Amino acid sequence: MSRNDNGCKIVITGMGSVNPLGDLIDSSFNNLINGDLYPLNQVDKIKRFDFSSFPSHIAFHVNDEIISRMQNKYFSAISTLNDLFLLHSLETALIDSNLKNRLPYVIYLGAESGLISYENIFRYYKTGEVDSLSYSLRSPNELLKRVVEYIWKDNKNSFSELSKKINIISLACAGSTAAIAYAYQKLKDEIIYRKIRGESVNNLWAIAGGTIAAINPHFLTGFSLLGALSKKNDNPKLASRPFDQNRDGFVLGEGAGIIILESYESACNRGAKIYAEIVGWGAASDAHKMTDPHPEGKGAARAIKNCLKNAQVMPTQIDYINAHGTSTYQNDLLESKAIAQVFQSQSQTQTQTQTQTQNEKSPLISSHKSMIGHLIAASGVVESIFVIKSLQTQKIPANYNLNKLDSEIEKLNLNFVGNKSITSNLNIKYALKNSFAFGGHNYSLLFKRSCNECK
Amino acid sequence: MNIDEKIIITGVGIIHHSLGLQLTSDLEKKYIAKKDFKLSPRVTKLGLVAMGMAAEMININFYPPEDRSIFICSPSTTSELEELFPSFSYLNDKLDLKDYYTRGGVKINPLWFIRSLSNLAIALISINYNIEGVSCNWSDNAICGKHALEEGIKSLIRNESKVAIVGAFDSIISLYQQKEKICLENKNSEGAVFLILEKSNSKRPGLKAIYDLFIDNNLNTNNFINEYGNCGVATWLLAQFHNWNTIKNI
Repeated sequence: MSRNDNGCKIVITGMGSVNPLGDLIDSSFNNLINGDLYPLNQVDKIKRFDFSSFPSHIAFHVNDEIISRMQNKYFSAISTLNDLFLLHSLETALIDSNLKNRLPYVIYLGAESGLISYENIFRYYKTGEVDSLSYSLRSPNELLKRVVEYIWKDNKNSFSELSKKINIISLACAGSTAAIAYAYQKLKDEIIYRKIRGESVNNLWAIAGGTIAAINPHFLTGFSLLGALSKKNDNPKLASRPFDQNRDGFVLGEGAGIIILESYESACNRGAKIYAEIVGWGAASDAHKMTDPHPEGKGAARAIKNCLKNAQVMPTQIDYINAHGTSTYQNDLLESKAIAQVFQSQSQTQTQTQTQTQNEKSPLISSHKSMIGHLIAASGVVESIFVIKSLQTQKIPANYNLNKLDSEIEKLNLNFVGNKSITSNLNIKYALKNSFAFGGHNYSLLFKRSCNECK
Repeated sequence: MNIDEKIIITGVGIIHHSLGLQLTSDLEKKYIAKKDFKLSPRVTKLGLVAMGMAAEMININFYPPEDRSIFICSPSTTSELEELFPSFSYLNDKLDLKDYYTRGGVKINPLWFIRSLSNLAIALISINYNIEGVSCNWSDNAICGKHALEEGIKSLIRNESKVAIVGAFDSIISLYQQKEKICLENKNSEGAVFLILEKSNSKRPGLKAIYDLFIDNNLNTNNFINEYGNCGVATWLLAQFHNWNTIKNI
């Protein structure tokens, strides 16, 4: 059974997210394309805690009004920001896909220790009250239990039915990208298994995504200690500047994203709208250093190559790369080197044989992090949602704040989107999404434009 | 993968009191590199030692680094929170972060944050054993060992790797973890198990299956917990290993 066999295709039929650009997918994407910094994009000094003594004290926040709205809506179910972000994104995606009351085949979520409520730990430290530690330390499963019981409240056995299907992946910044990859593979394996047995693949769908509430002492202290955060506190809007010569670190963000993956046959049979197709994934490890990526992007390049191999797609077919692009010196340089390793050798061959210039064949590259910050475990899924919107609308967001390309990156002669979004004359069919994490975990996903034609 | 090929277990490292194996300073010295020692909280040490025990049963260097993959389960946080407490202060009953980052002489150890990352162990293992293939880390409930084992097997079946390391470790005997409600209801314990999986037709010299690999889909972890205590995210894989070991010894 080949990947191109429609019966084995996996498509996206629902999406939901809350992020620093908004709580609705379309308006968030429009803000991203238009570069609207107000009213929703809240990159500013952190006000939730007094972080003024920290070397970096700016972040991309989810708008306070959105948070209040979510708190009012879900007040009976949950309390922490992680819960709110996840619950909102999950419910939105399920409504979007028209699958709200059905149970998925599997759930994969990328999450970090942001699931831990720091406030509760502090309260315990202060008061010694055991109760204040509830849900604070080590129970992401407890969080999901509350979310699952709220979402599927009509099904009293929902959690016991779903608990064995829930996977929480902790791979730092690559968490939700890995979650999408494994959900895709799990569905794919199940489709093949059912086809062999002559069984129906109807109602075969999965939930994948991630959540993060990173604007807390844990993450700010940790990343400050590692020197990874931008210190441009006086000019927060200009602080996150992926690939720019004057970048000095990333800016934390917060939010969540959920996508619904479904067998193409199942989606067609129930007349679902199809946003895009997932056609492959790839992963590789640096095996280099805990906090430093491989300087030549060795693992990153192999993850991209493995993704293309898995999807049976040539590098020359890739039209757009959504970079991990964190705005740190190391990541942006190594990622550029990795992209050059995979795509330039191919385009140089093309140049010789087809007399095309390198840039004409090189995929367009941009990062979303200048507009939403770094959502750590949720970055992969939120950015994937925007990539899917790019495929759907044929618009690519700008590399905002990219005023002068890093001189070392410039030598690689890659095709970066400038600081204005591209909104016309595009024909993007394949889009690659990269995510790289502390510890050297590299994951890539490949999405394909869908014509929404069920045949 | 050919129909007559099998996935076999060729290496095992385990620390669990049911087998009389506990984390000792001798084991730590033997299996944990000096550079990793300061970086590793107790729970990570459990994982590193079990991995070391499993790895010495095979010559992992027979396989190219990109053909080695790793799938493990670790707790969602591994840091020892007590380390932060000297940095806390309160003002008007609220946490005062004014000097949190650099409180006098007790600036928070830069290693603390790295120690708190739940992917610490998988990163250290992939660095130490030069594992350049797929790596994935689960941090959910007791059953996540099953997810990791299934992915390890599938990565071999799909020819994404030639050797897969599967492991799970947890320790819920510390003060804070015991305070967690879920742990109060159970006997608290700790443990680690690491497995090396290879294909039966591998050309690696000395290849030998030491346990029959099967997954018990109806494995009841409650029975294991009642008998041996709660090992958190390592519970399922330890219980499954216990089954393999029991059958082998029959």
